[in-house]
Amino acid sequence: MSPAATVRVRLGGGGHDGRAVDLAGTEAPPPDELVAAVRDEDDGRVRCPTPGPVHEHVGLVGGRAGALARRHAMAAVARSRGHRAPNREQVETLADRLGALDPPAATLTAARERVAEAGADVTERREHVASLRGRVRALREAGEEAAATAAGADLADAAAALSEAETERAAAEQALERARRRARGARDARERRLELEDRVANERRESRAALADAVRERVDAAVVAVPGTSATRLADADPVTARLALARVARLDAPVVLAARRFPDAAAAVGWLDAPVLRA
Amino acid sequence: MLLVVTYSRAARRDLRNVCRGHERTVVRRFGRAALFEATAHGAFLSCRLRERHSDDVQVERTRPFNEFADIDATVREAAAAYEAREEPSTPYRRFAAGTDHPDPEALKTRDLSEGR
Repeated sequence: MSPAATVRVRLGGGGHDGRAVDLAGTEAPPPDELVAAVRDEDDGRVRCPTPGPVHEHVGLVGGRAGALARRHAMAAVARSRGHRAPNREQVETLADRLGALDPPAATLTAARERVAEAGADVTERREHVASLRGRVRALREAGEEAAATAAGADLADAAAALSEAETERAAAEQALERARRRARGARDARERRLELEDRVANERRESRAALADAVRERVDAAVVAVPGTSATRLADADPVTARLALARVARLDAPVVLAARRFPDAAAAVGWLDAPVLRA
Repeated sequence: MLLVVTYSRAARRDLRNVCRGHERTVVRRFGRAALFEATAHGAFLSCRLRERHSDDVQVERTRPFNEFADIDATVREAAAAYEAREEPSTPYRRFAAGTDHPDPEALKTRDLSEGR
């Protein structure tokens, strides 16, 4: 443990320094707020070394610690102890390739909307032409020539507008067809990206499995040593026991916030965990 | 029906969740794709997925294929005859040559009829 791994807590009027900080019975903030302060460099209430990834899993024991992803946590513990997955380079290579991918857009929304609007416009204008045509015929049959001629002019205008609308619809349909063909290529690229994402996820899963295997025996042994439990394996341990065991095996510079009561005081917890402790 | 195809892990996961929650609207699921009923609810679910994942969700409208109405009999008969060929390794092009069966180019350029 580095000598820098000390913790300074400034709360209200009082200050607490050292590896074992016992805040039990004080007006300290609740445990989840304390752990947030540990993780927030800008939060002056707790000054300590920057927590590593493993702290996300074991930094808060008890309280509102939430669900524990045991496989992820074991892998993080292994990494904190310097273990590296055998497929690490493969993961990095694939992740780099994935990061470099930038598949083209396949958006057809605007083209689809244009087709729909052009289609609706044609329908509307066609109905208008039909109704004008009916009117011209009716006027003619009624012998109202002047009115029929005026209506005929309207009909000609409407027919011209319909023809324009039909041209626009054809253009919109062609544009959509072209966009569809382009989107096919873009989707091929997205499909390849998805395959790569799956490969990266599989490699990462393998990494975690290998890393977890590397520390499983130690973690299970730590489970047995946790005060107040009869569990013998991480898999069977309650979350408090599991986090304590994982924290004992992990290398931790930042303090673990203890909301659960398994140790008589903070100093006992520091001794058992070999990590700085904030006892809330 | 609506064919929904996803192109990212996040979109595929959401599609899976949608399928789990709406069995009545989801006609069938295939890995990263699914068929939804051609109802407003099917459209609603598709639009939601597209809203969330834009280009990573493709939605196509499909309809049942009727080989007795959508194509003429020559295509159907050619398929039946080819599947009943005696020499399994004969490519269709050679099989169709010199017969009344349409050649591959003719098949590729002929669209299905719009009728149902």
